[in-house]
Amino acid sequence: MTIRKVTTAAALQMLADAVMEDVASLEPGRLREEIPGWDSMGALMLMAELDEHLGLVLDADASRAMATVADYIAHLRASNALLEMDGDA
Amino acid sequence: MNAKAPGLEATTKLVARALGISTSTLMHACRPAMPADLGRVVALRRQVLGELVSWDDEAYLRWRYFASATPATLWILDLDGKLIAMIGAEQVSVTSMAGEWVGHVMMDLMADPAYSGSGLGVWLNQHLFATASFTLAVGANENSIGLVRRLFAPLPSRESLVLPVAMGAFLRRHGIPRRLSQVLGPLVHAGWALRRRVMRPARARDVTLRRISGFDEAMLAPLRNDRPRGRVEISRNAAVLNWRLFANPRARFDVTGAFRDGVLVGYVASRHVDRDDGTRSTYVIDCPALDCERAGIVTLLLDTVIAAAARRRNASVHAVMLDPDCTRILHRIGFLRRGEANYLVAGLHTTDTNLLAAAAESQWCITDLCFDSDGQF
Repeated sequence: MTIRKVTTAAALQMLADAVMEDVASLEPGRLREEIPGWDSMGALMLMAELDEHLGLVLDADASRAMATVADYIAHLRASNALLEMDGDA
Repeated sequence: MNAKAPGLEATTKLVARALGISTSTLMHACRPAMPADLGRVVALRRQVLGELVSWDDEAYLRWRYFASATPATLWILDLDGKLIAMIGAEQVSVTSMAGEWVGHVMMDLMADPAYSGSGLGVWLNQHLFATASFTLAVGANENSIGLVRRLFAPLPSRESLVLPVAMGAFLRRHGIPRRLSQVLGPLVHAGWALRRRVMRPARARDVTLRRISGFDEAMLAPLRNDRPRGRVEISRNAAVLNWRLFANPRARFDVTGAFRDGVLVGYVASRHVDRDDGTRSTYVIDCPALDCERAGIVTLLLDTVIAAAARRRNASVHAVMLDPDCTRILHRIGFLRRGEANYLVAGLHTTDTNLLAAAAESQWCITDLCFDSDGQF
């Protein structure tokens, strides 16, 4: 399946929607454990968001490995799902 | 309910992909646990709960899910011989003037930490939703609170109530130094006793109290048939009460019945609990009474519980419930409201429009009969 690409801002908005946080609060260094909505439900919602909007499959290991917001952005970058002109998260 | 939460079909696909298996493998891996699974269930609970388990968990689980009278089923996810997640469901009926519905209460949701982040908890809940006309969530912990808030329509939170019995100990628990507590305790106690005498409802008259060691349907009939307008209640039946109150290896309850002319008009079920701070308290799990004189019967029954707690030198009497009318009675008796906590939340998932309508128009009444803490929180 072809991965669709998004800007970092759009990627952060997807995470915000999934974990029910204000996107402005999702600083790169923010820890997952500090975000109450990034629990089992939030993880599933994020899987659904990435699947629906990007066609990107998030497996359990990758989901579990995301310890910060920056890890999430890094995973999208590594999956070639971020627009290149849109650099740093 | 969160409109964005994916449905069962989508969740099945997402979770299966996250685990690297097919959707049919995932669905076939989920089945009711059998007694032969008990060892692995105990091991997973020990892995997830650790030192929180201070009781004989195998005996408890045998009673909870495999006793002949149990209304509960434990669903397990058994993948290639490895038990990776589980969820319990206790069948309950709710009644109102509008009808009766059979559904279940969700409990004991846990997953092997190695599989966290795969959405298993959500999928197991949605699997339960598909097997009954409604699912209740009563209480939550830090791991499940997000799931309860997003998959279930919120019911009013249950209320946690405490009545101080030994005021000195109660003050110490709330940070008052020991010596000051010893001085203040009797004074506060006297004031509180006066307040209780003035405020509490009059006790029901012409009622005999006696200990109950087992229920039968004929005895319970007056309470079962009492369906006050505007209330949705969990039905009580004799077999489940006998199992819940008298056969639980983790918690045996003392039950006192209130009888008028030999007819049961109310009862209270309670037990004594050793708390982590070394004090003891009395925990009330259930206290139903005929609606027409509920305040008087509940007051009479709780007075016996409070007196027994005082004789045992217990520090306090606790109760947790979703029942605004009964809560008001307990406040008049002298119970205080304790702080908010995640474990007090309650939620309903149903697609039954009649139940949704009844739920919207009625007060829900849920006691700790539907919550498995047995006073240990």
